[in-house]
Amino acid sequence: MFSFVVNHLLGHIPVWIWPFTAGAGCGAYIIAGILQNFPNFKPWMIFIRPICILVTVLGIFMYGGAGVVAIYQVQILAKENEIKVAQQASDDANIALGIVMSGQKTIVIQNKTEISKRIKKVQQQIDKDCSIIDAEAWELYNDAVYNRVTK
Amino acid sequence: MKRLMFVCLYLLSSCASQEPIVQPSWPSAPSALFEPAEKLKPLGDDQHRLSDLIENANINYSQYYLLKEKYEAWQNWYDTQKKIWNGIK
Repeated sequence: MFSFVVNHLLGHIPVWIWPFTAGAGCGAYIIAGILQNFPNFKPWMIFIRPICILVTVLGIFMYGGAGVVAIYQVQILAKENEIKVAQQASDDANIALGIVMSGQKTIVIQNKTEISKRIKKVQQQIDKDCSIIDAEAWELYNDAVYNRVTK
Repeated sequence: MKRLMFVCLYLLSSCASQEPIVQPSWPSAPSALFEPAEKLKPLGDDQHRLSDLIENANINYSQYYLLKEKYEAWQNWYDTQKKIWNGIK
């Protein structure tokens, strides 16, 4: 409720309105005091003077509130700038990490390809003594490959 | 008049306690970190030679290294973002 009042109602009213309101209330109070001396106006002034006091208090209070809002706006602006800088730093860090990851992936894949080539080169030599691996070894190997948690 | 003063005091207390809050959002990680991990490859039915086994191990090792780098990248990402996040709080 408070934020709604500040953001949607008070936020759109120019600040100068409040000292003007306080001044007008004060001025009206003085004028009402003068008019109170005239019998024709006296009954009205009894009601008008408290209203003038209320208007003056409201003006002073709202002017103080506008000052608080101005302080908050400066703080918000500073925080928003801080967040923008942090956002940029975060994006830069993400880009740098992406580049590093891409480089690492390339190295791993290059290494895999290199080893594959070397295996192919000596394939006959490797298979000479062990052309067919033991069936039990084959099964054990494949069993070890599967992840029992996600299988 | 006393009631009016209470109303004014209440409104003033509201001014003092309602500080505006600007919350930064937690950043998202690079999309490469969200790629799912591939499963290790078993030996195929037609792969019974020692060279097939070594080749298969080579493929699976490379999978492991890719995942290791991704895991370390997650840690790196988290540490970096945490430092940035703590800097603005």
